[in-house]
Amino acid sequence: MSVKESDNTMYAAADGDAGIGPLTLTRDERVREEAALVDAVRRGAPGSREALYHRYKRRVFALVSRIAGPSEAEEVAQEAFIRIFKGLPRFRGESAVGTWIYRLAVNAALSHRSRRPPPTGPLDEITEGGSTLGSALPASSWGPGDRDAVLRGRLERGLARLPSGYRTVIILHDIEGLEHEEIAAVLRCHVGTSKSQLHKARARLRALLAADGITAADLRGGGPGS
Amino acid sequence: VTLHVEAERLSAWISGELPERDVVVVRMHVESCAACAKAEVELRAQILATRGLDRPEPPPTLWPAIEGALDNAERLPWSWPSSLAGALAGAAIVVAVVWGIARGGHPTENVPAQAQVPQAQARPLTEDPLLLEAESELQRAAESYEQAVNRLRRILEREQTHWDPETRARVGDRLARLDEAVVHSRAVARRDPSDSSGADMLFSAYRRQIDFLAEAVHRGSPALGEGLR
Repeated sequence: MSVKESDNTMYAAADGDAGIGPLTLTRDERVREEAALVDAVRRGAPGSREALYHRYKRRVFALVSRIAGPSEAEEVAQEAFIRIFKGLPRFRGESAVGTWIYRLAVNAALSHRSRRPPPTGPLDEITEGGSTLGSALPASSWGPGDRDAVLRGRLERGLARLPSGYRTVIILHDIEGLEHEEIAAVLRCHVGTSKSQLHKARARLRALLAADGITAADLRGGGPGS
Repeated sequence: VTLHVEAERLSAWISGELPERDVVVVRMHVESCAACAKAEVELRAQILATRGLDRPEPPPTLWPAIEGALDNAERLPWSWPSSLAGALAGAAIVVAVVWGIARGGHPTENVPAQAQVPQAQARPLTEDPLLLEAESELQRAAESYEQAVNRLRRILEREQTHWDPETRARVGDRLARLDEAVVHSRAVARRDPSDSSGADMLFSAYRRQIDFLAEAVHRGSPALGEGLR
């Protein structure tokens, strides 16, 4: 199979950004596939940039949305992808492509947030999506249709209230599913730091959710009293 | 006094990251302490719920914006921040089209603006669909320019943190004068929308603003300081 044929197959499989990659591939196959895609982007193969974008778009967008805030997500994601594409020629493969992309996205989001801190004030006014709904209704009044959206909103709201360092680690580990070794590579910190930050972050989030009236039953989807 | 297990240790225990000797202690305590057992259940539920959060889909405009910015950055001989280049290119295209519409011809036709005035005045603006369309396009073009200006200002604000106060002050004064020119020409353009010279003046003011901001962002403090002396 020629390189080009290989590229075409890969681009089709890459679209959709579901998880780490196509589930039928082994980890080694995924690594080889991503390396081929990076090589294609470097060579300027038609469609390769877009293929790489589609592979990572949701991961990058979700990550920057949660770190920098939903209202800033588009601008930050754009900045992150521009850094990614401009940096690819200098990418030496010392880490996995995904780890390197996460690093650039996290850096873009954190530096954006430091330049433009989120507005202060009542959290209901500064968060988006289901957050306002979640805070407006007591848990006891949730209807079945509200429950998931409300919980997601309250969870997102709790995450948004965490300090940046805690939030970044809990997003990378508990939402994005990275291992501590990968998080350490993304954040350029020790594995032990990643672990301790994660546990502190979870504890802080637990306290925030408890203060917001969220119980284990709510989180399990059973609702109050179940 | 009952010492409960802290949430951090519970989290480490749940994740299997506690040293072996601590695992036994924590497990025994949780089995015998209702409060810690409840905390463990809540923490496990929280971790599961967090894992279940979705990844939002990025807007469909994101890739075209990235692609446009990359293309523009590669075309420019020197490197503006890429996201800005897309905005500027967009504004320039819109303005070129708008000028063509407002002057009743193609943008490349060199028709004197004065020749258009009697025609525009002869037909009230509100009854002329072409002029209404032109006015709407002009509005959009102005918005594109303003977005570009705002982006440049934000970049400049970041850059300026490394500048000396004197240069910052000079740049601030110059920007204030350029802002005044925009405000003035916007007022002129609004006074008589059928006269394209007002729009010309406004876009010229925007371009001066953008040129200055881009120069400031691109060349930085020392070169700019000399240029302003």
